[in-house]
Amino acid sequence: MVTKQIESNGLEITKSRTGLKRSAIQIKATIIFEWRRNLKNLIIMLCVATAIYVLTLVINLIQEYRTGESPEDLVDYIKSFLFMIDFLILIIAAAFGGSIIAEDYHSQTGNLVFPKITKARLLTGRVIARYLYSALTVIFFYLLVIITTLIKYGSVSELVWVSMVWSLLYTFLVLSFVVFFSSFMKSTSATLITSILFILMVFNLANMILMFTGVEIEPFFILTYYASIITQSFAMPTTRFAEFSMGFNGEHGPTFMSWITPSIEGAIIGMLIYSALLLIAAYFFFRRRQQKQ
Amino acid sequence: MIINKNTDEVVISLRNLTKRFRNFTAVSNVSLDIKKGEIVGFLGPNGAGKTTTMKMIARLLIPEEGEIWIRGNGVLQLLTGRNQDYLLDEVGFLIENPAFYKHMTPRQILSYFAELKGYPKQKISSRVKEVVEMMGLSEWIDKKLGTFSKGMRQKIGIVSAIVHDPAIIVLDEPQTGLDPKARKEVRDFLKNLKSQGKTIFLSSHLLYEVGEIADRIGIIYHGRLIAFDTVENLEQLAQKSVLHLELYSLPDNIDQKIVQLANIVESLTGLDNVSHSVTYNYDLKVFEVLFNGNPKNQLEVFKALAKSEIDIIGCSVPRTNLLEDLYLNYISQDEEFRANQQNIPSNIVKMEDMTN
Repeated sequence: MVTKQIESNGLEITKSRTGLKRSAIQIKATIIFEWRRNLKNLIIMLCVATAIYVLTLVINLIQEYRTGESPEDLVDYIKSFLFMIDFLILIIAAAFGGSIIAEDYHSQTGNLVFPKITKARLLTGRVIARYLYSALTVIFFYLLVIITTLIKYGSVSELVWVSMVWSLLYTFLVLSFVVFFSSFMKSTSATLITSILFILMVFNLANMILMFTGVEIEPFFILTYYASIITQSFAMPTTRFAEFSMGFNGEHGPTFMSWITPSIEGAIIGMLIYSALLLIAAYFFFRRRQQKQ
Repeated sequence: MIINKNTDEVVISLRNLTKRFRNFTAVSNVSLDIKKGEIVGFLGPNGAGKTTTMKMIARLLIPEEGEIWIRGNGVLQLLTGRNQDYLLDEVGFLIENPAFYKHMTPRQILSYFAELKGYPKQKISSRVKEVVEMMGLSEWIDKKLGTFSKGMRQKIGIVSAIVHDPAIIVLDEPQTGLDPKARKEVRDFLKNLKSQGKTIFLSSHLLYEVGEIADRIGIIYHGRLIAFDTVENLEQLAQKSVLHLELYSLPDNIDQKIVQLANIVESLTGLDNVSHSVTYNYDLKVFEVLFNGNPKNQLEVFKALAKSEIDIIGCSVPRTNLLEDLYLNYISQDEEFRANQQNIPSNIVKMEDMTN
């Protein structure tokens, strides 16, 4: 509610000083400030994206040199560049999200910032700013791949744009995951290490446990499961799981089931709900967290 | 919205403020009014509750009990989550040690803070230049904060509290870690702000810094406000003050001189239960005469000393030492009070309950 006052010696209470408009002003100021603050990070991440692109390009060239032929289908060619996309997204999200909350407590910068803006607005501004930088890096990587494909094949599959949208959505999910860790970890470096280890090891381990214990439930709670749709979206499989048996000396062993990719609806809803839960949890940890004296 | 129009001059009013962290009471029932244009010093040892009180004013901590009233738009208003946006725009905060983002410059960070606090966008650039110049750091305005010394960072921290031109400035230990020159600069800066009509609420454990500039002083100990008044009134309440006597030459036998001075002044100090009314301060190289703070007794002591044959070339009532003495006096009184309370049988009404 905007309060009207009769006596006024100081600053007038206007709509720009209260409510939603004030929130928008503060969030916008935070986004611009965060962009300035993370510009160096952006340049480094663009270099990392370029390095991964160059690495896959070199691998492709070596393979073409050895086999004497390049992939007939340009989709296969594009997919060959995307085999490390989930790793790239993890690096980007960790780089931009690791410091998002932990830094203010570790380096005590929160003493200056927190009295000037509510934590909800600060977090909103930061998440938007850093996600946009992360998205820019992912788009940059896709543009490199698209340009290379255009040079080599003269055209590019429209499905690459679909894959890019999935990558952007997955980037938001991984960023939310890192933000969640940043809300309670002591420092930026601890956040980086823990979140990377979690995604690379714990989720894969959980996936394997599910597979070998014969649980048939679709692993929507395993964050890395959503990454598969980035490459699978080029040709969504009719059956979204694979069955295989493991046996020794040519004998048939027990049959296991592994989920290949979530459905389009499942991926959209799953990633959005997952991200929302992580960000809400991060906000509550952030709100309760106090600066050490 | 709750408004209070009866207290015209008060710009911040803390009423029965209490903050607990699980079983530990960090701030207990603190009430104080800060008036427009005054500097209020908030003294207390580490862990006394100074920072917690200031954090509650900034709404970084929510009190379990009590209210915070802040003057906004000319009216004293109860601080709530709904009006904190514009009400806290009237207040500039420096909470604890300021740490900055190392790769940013003062211009970038101060512009950001000014925008957050609703300062008119078209005036931000000139305002940032102005406040940085006030602290004598103009040459550093576009340098990375990572290259700044601790003192310079502290100054930028103080500047960050006033960049949006608030009417009230809350500073938590602003002079900690500064060298004497920088401390004087900050002191002068705060005096300058006061001359501009700003109200300053300043916490410190550096008694001298507070004593030099504060109009009123609050002493907080174990979360309780044990004294809050002007230095002069506190002195009268404590019935304790000190005179510094500087002699023409240092005597060979200091103990003998102490006895000589004590014989002259002891009956005139107005203190009955003090065993050593005269002492020698080896740091300042002055004799100290403890008296009851009453100007009449002070005059009697002066007269007696003038009649004596002691070569006194200087005589002063230093606020700093006095403040330290008062501070320790109030704290020891509080310790005694707490110790007595613990010994009182539970069926007897405690003194604190009676005063309430």
